[in-house]
Amino acid sequence: MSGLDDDALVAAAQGGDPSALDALLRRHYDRLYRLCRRLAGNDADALDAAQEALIAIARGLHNFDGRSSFATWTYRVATNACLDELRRRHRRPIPTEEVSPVSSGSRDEADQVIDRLSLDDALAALPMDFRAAVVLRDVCALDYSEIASVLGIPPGTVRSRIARGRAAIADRLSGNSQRPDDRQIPRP
Amino acid sequence: MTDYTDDELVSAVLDGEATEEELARVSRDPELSARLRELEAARDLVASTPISAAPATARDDAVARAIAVMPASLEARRRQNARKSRAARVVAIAAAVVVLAAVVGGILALATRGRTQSSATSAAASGSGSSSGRADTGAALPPAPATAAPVTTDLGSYASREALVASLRQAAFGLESGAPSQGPEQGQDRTATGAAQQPAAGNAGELSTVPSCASHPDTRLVGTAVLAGRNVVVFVYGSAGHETVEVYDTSCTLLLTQPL
Repeated sequence: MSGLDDDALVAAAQGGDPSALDALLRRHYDRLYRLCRRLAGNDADALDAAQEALIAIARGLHNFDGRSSFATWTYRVATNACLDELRRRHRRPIPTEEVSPVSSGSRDEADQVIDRLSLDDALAALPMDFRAAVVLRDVCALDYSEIASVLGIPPGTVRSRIARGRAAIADRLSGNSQRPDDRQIPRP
Repeated sequence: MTDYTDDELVSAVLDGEATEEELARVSRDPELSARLRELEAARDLVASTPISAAPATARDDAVARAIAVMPASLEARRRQNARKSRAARVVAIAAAVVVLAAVVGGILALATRGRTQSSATSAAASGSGSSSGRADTGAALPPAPATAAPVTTDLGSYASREALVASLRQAAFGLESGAPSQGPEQGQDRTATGAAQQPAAGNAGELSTVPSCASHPDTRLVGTAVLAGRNVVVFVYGSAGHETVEVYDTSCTLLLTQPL
């Protein structure tokens, strides 16, 4: 079953084959979890969001008509599920991130943890619309037209949101959180 | 100074979504090139910062829960398909009913026509019939014409009832011997011998159909003739030697009933 391509698995799953759906969801779980993890900002919410995404995919599979690729369609479903989960999160206590202990003497691992925390903070500071566009581009590697399809917005808006999201991250990481209009970049 | 528009330009260059002209502009401008490096660092951080894989148990649990909701979604799909197939079935049944009605109607029409035709032709062709004679003729008018059968026999033209009956008596031998119904030549012969009067509206052969004025079970001959200038329908029925003749006009009014 796992040797079949997405189209064959989707057709079988739409015909009611649970093993096909099982194979399909396992194949795409890690990819969707990465999306949810970057959108949610912490592991606990990401796991919940990924769970909701898989349920939404199973429930909505009969609506998938193949006009986009299955992967793009699952990104759309998962993004919406994650955003819903994050809206719910705002109404309950934010879980504390459990940071893996740094191995003694491992400078790279320590840097990674710092990067991760910095990135989570930087992404969390973005408006949700900007965060989704940046993550779909830089984590999921979708092009602008695919992101436009996933988010249901024009490609020009995608370009704008990605740029402003990246700029905010760059400014935050460099310690400059001023608006671009207020920021002076020294000319050489 | 960079602004949102510059960031859009630089970001598009990073993503390979910029035009050649935009790319050249960023390359020429040191400020934009510096901003390009800043956004590139941000992009690399987002893209390359590792994400710990979800625990396998979490994945298994998520997949199992998703599959658990599958029957509900499939049920929705089955209902949708059932609605479609029900509609298709109704259309198919309606079409079948229409076709069946047309076929049955056609069969009934053919059967009715066949019955009328066969009774007429068998009466004309059969030499032996029922032994029961009909002596009580002329008591009541026959029913109005119900169906029409093709003309079977042209008996010719006659000036009087007597001439017609006499001609039919002469033909009685032919009826008994089972000879086929008379053809036009015989009718024309009788015209020559029995009458000089011509029909008012052409000869008897112009009557394209024979009204079913009588429905005797032992009918032996059905024909048309011209009697005193009127188109008439002639029925001969009864057993051999006990034939009776009935003559009707084209509206099935009984003009004559008489033993042969």
